[in-house]
Amino acid sequence: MTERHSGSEVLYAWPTFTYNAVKLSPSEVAKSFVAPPAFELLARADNAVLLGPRGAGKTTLLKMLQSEALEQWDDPSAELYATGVQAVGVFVGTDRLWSEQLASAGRVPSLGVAAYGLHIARSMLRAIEHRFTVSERPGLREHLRLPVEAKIQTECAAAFADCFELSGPRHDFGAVRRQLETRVLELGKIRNQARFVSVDMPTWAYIDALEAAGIYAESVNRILNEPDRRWCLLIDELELAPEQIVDDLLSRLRGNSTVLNYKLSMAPVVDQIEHFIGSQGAVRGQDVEFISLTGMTRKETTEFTTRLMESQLAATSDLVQVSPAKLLGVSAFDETDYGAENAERGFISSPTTSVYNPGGTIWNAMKRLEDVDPSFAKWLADHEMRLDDLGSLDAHRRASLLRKIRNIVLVRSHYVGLHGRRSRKTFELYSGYSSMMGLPDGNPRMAMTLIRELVNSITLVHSRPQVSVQGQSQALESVMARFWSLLTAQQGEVIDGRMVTVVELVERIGLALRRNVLEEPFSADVTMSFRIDSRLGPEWIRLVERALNAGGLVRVSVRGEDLVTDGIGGNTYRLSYLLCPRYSLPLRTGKAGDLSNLIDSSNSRARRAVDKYQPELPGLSKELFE
Amino acid sequence: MISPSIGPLRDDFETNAVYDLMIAVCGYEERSSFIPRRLAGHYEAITVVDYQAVKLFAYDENRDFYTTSDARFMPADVALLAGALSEILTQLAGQCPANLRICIDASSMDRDVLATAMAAVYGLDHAFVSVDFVYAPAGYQRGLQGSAGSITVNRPVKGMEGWAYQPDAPLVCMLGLGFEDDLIIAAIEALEPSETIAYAPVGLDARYDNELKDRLRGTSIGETWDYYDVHQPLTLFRELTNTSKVLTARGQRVVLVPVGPKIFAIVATLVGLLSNGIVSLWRVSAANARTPEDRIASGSVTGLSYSRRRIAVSDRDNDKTAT
Repeated sequence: MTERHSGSEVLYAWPTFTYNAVKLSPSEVAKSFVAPPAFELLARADNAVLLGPRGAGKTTLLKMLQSEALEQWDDPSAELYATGVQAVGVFVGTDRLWSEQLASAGRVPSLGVAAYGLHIARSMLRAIEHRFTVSERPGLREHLRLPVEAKIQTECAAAFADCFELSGPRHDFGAVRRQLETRVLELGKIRNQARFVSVDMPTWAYIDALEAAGIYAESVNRILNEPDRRWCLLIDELELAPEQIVDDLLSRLRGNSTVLNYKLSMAPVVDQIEHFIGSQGAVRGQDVEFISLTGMTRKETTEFTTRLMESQLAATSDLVQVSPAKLLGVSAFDETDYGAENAERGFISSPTTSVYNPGGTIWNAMKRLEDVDPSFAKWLADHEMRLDDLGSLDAHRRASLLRKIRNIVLVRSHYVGLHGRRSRKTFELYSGYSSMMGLPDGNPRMAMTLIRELVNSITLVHSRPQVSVQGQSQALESVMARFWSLLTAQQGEVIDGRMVTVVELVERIGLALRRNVLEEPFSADVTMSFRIDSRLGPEWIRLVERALNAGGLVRVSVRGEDLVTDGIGGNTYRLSYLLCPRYSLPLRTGKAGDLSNLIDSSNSRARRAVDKYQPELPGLSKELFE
Repeated sequence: MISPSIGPLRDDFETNAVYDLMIAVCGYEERSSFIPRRLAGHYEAITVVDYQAVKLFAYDENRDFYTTSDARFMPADVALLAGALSEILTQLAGQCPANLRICIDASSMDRDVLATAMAAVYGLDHAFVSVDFVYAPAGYQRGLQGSAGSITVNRPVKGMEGWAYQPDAPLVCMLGLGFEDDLIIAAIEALEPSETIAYAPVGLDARYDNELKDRLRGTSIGETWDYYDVHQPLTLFRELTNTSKVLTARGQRVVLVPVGPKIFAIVATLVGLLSNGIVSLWRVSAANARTPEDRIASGSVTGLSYSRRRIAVSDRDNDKTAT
């Protein structure tokens, strides 16, 4: 579709889609896969637990460890991964609805476990069948394929029947698969009957599926004479699995199985985390690797989102050669003093021009702020800084002071220029390559949404494709609205007799931080993150946990703090960068304050603001419905 | 053998209907007693689910009406309600051995209570059961918020979780639309369906129709929905039944998410019940966190009629012979 837009031509409009790997096949996932830094850690680890909020890419990463995905992945590093990953990946997915269905079979406690066990069995079968299948596409990279004669396949099928106690025909995989399907149907019948009368479970329902999977893997290894072959159960959204399965899985992480590994994914805050704590828990680095998908540095998230965008641009043939940096231009928040990076990208002609010299971006912002903000003028005076001589500051002072304040100066001067009004121009400050690529915090779902909006806004200026500052601002506004909608959709908590929502929590934090940055006397050391302090009640803690699992809050990596903790108390968090433009905040972490203080200080304003600002942002786009 | 039948409400149901039991609710909306008042004298007994947590607007008047009607008040807690309703229905079935006639007024019922009441009736073992599910749409109200508010419920309706033979099969969400886009987003976010088929209500009032279209188009849903006429619930029932059957036959999972007018919830619940526990029914709601609004009945009544006859094997054989 091509449409006219403000006098310039919108070049590309993509079909809308939801970036959600849950319902995609491994090959579909592989087609658009861009590996984040965590993928290498995950691929290398024996046992691993992936932690990340919604949309962080947990399902994608687990699915990419299946043979089918590794074969279909078109990437320079794909061959390396296909060679390195030598375990047979068995993906066991679930979703919220199925989890609720299993939990609802409460009258028959073992029904949920039996259903999950059958699911594991079917996943094992799918994986082994794939190994024995001949590739349909000659020349395709092959991963662990092993076409063997029918006799061997029959042996493997019979071994499967033995391990999962299937008494019917066992001459090939089709026969055992049909028996598994019959069991699934039988389980459905039992479940329906159990709603009205008490039902006895068949003996097969009590099979320990994890144990059976391990024995089967050993049997196949023996039959195929592959004694060292490892198998890996890739269990997605562990928190949705039946409790008994979770307990069993987590205890197995300490078991050092010779053949079966486990790679599990979970939301950042789940009850099951207690299994990893204390003397009985799996030992980090020894039994299991914990991999956080929100633990990327700003540089890593920027690089990852850039590669995602490059991959999407490459899919649009005319834009293969266009770099995201050139499309989006320079960000005011770029960290370079001299713009060397910018020069490299062709944004500026002279890399020796300092942003601190008169006429430079930062100098201009400081000058504007000095004129209108007496507290900043005082700060400059207190630190014996003269704006007309900033370029001559030695490297040490530049590092210690100017770089520390530059982003605060930028937002403060920008906000002052708007005279405190909220405006679409507020978001223009966040335009530019490094900001746009950093804003999604490395969350692929949000990154893809932003990228899609950006690519839809590409226009030709003097025959060169670009996304204007206004186009970027609008793209950002659209993605922020979607993100806000997702936060709005989180369950609230009754606190002091009143319903408090996740968005109110976020709003309280955001408004308090904004006051620190914009309204208090200028300081180089403002609070931009927060600790979960002991004054917070359990209801607030639950709200924070929901905000974390939805991606609204992000854990700040603090040296010495363990990634896995029993609860969130004492940990340090910040707002997601995607929320920063809403509150005119710089994209940085800053020092930490107590969350209870932030919440208290913005109580009534936040309640008003939640009502006042919510309608200003457009709602969700229709992608969610497709 | 059970022989169910679904049809429209009889044209003369308001004048000639006779019920052994009316099931309704006592809430703060004016319309929560609209149908029981209109049908006064047409039912032998009335059982009322009491929403006493919010005693606003017309609650007291409704309560007075039900009290003078000798209504039996029931708790709004579905766990208690299921057992209590089952007990009443079993007792009633003993008193009416040939034919049990029930009316369920869903106008002000929440979806859990509605599903509980419908499931209790559906599960009743009786020779002949006929049930009219009725709904009184509210008149136009400018600035209507509907059920919007902070999400407090986002889960399957109890007892109607459905069942998946293949948990990794694609999930299709069949969604009844309303003004409450936050609720819709919450459900979609929780369910992560592969596909969503959305149905927008029309026919209540042209102003509602236009406002809803504007709201859906301008906010969140885009333009990818079908329409259903709230006064043609049988058509909607056929559409949801057929679509869900086709989808499940293809190996897809189906979840029904009723937001918007309660008639969609009635139809969706019926489709769920008749699916033999396969199709799921999802509830997303602000529950008591919503802003209370008094809803005045427009005067029209819509609904569906369900009847079920238990056929003895010998009867069935006779039928076959006759055929």
